[in-house]
Amino acid sequence: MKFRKDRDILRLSSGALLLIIACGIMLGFTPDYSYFGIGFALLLMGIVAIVAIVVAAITPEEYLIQDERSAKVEEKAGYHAFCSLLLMMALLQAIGCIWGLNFNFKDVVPDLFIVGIWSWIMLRWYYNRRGDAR
Amino acid sequence: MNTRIKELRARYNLTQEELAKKVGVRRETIVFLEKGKYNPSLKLAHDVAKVLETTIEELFIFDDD
Repeated sequence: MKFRKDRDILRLSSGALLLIIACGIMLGFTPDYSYFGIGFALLLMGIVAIVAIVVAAITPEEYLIQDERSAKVEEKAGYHAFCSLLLMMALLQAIGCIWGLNFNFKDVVPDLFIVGIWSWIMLRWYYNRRGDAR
Repeated sequence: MNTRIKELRARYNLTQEELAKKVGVRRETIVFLEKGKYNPSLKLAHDVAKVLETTIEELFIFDDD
């Protein structure tokens, strides 16, 4: 396993480390934990960033090239994921109207978010495998 | 759609990876092109044809031709 150490990886790693240091300062120098929420969020962001950077650093560079095919696949997957999200919202609204459910969209926002992200990931995988020639 | 990319690539002793690097795309894109499962842009078709020293018409063969 080769670990790339190019400029982008180093720049992003230092950004992630800065986030974690900022979190340490916030949590360490505020005895009453008044900034606990922000500090914890920064720590979480730093950890997620470091995991993403490690994954990017061990991925061969050729897989990270954004060529016309990958751009097309992402665009198509994003468009169809958005359409499926709209369809899902319309269906929920229709079900709510027909059965007279007192439906509030605020309650299902996390579920819709998950549906959107999953649709995008699955569609991207599918279009990436299928090719687009007819 | 069929292509002669594989045949011409072999003639010039190029691997898929080398061809991909020369035209600035992923290796996967070359795989899809060779299988005729991807419609490239005119620019990519031109770049591949240029690297393989041929023309677009000779590189891509359409079923109705």
